[in-house]
Amino acid sequence: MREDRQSQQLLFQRYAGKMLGVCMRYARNRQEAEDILQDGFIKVFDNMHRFRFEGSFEGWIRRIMINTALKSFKKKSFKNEQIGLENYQEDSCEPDIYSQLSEQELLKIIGELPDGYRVVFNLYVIEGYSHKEIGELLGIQESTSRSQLTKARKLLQQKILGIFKSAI
Amino acid sequence: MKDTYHSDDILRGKLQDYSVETPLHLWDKIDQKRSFSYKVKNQLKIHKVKISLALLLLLLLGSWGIYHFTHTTQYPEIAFTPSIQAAASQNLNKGTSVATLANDLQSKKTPLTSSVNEKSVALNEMVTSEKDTKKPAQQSVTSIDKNINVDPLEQKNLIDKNQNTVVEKAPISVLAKSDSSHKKITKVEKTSQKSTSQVFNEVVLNTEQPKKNGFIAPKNVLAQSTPKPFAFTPNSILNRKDFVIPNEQLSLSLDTKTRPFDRGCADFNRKEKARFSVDAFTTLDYNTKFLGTQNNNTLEEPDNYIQQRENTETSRYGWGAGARVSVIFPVNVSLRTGLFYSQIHERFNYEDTMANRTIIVTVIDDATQTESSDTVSQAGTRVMESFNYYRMLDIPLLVGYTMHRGNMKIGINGGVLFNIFMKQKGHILTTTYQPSRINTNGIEEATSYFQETIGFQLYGSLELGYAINDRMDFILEPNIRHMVNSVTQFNHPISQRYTTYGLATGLRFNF
Repeated sequence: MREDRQSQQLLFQRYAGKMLGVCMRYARNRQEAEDILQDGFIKVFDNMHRFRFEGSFEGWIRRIMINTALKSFKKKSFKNEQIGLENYQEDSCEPDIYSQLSEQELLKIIGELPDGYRVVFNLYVIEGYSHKEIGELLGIQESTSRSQLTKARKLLQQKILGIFKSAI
Repeated sequence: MKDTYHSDDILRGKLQDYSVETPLHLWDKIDQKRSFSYKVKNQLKIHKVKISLALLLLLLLGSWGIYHFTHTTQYPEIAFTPSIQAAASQNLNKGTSVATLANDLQSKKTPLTSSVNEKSVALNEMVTSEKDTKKPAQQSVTSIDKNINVDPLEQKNLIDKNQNTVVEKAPISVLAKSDSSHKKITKVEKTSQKSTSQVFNEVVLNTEQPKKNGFIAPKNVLAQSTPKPFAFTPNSILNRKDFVIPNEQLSLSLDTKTRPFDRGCADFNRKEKARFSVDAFTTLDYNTKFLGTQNNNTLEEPDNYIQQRENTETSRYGWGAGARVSVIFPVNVSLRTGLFYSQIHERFNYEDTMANRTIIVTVIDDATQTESSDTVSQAGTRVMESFNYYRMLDIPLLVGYTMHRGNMKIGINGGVLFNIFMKQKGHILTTTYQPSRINTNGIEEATSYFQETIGFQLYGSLELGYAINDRMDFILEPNIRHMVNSVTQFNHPISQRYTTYGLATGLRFNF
């Protein structure tokens, strides 16, 4: 399995689609997501011997993809990002509004978030990490993670409301 | 405390398992990037422990092979007579040369001793043979000393000046036993070394007549022979380490007149001296790097840093060259020391897709012809590639054991390489994930990560040699070198060690 080309190709075909979906949430665009996916799968094949069959194989691959995506961003990019959120309006956003958007639309909106916000948002909301775990993963303070998530929510709401307002 | 939002559940439900169409075109890129050499390197990295163990096993097998290679001829136990010291004294009185096996046999505790004492009829046969094997062998029994009632093993080479041939005389000890079906010596194997003497390696009593190189013993002797085959093996005896000849006997028996000039014969008085040799060699190396955390690690994510280092630094082939002097003792053990220079090569590849650079632009106003400068910030991808070198000078201190047969030599070496200095050049990622120079005596951050000397390395090798002539050997030496200490400073969070697999070739000059 470790260096069996056919098996590796089968494995790629099976998981690449789903993992590209994961990568797209972290990347700014499809090209970047594909780069992450490519690096991620190379790591998967390189480190196949480290999989201990103790958990889900898909989960293991997903974690590698997330780690690869995180490493593709600089730490400083999370710390130094300054977005003028003060200018955004504090409009409330009904939860159901998210249901009306397709996955592609949601991905597009998330992709437009600044790197730091997007990563923290993905890790917290989609992957289910706690702020403490995110802080450890990204090398930032727990409070930073918390504030970035708050800002990410606000920005996301603004963007969604903007879409609906323009549609109306 | 995890904040809960209803919108989070909706988003999670929509995006967690969201899948897009499989990007099949990426497979080719991945497959291309994971080339054959890449896969081999990865496998080496994965199986580094197994490979090291296999090489160690190979070394052990090689050393066992050397031992076996030189001890393949197993001679049958030699029949002998007891009371050898008494016999020796009788022989000495007669002025014959006697080599006694008393010490050897006593140490071996051969069970035949007592029975032979009682039953044996000692016969002393001197079987002679012509040296020149090209001519038909002339064998004859030249003398039978029946006065000696015990038969010590003895070896004596004489020069038959009349026939201008070297004649070797050797005793055949025949032990009488009642039941004897073996009556004649039918097989004599002679070694065909370049020495000027013949050596009887094996004499087996049998009922058949000799066919080739046979030596016929007198029937009156053979009639009383023991049914057990026996052998007369002077060289095998003489080569034994525990074969000790009392000095007083040697002084009497090996006088200068009867002493053989033949180098192949045993010369008990001669003491072999240590020999010297000088090696000049080069080695082609493959290096594997091991990065790990040190005890005083202060990094929050050392694994991330290690991963980034591994991603940006790729091992390449290295090389080394050196010279060493060896003192070879008579027991084939040698001590080697000298100087050994080696280089570890790596490639540093760094790519930052989110780099920003500031460009200072000079603006010339056409109207006023004044110059002003402006700064432009430009985003892009920063690509860096450089070659890293780790240069080391070591003093090897090795112990070797070498065996030879004919022109071929085989041996093992083991020991340590004491490092005199290490110098490095190139780039690595700093702990803040920025590329930095590592040049020795540089001023950049990563320069301070490295040590000036790295202590010592363990060294093991299998040595294969071919004698080109009497003075010169060609040597081929697969070797392993392992750094015990890290090349990084103790206060650096990451340790960096190398294991090097090398193939050395060179020449050995024997003195």
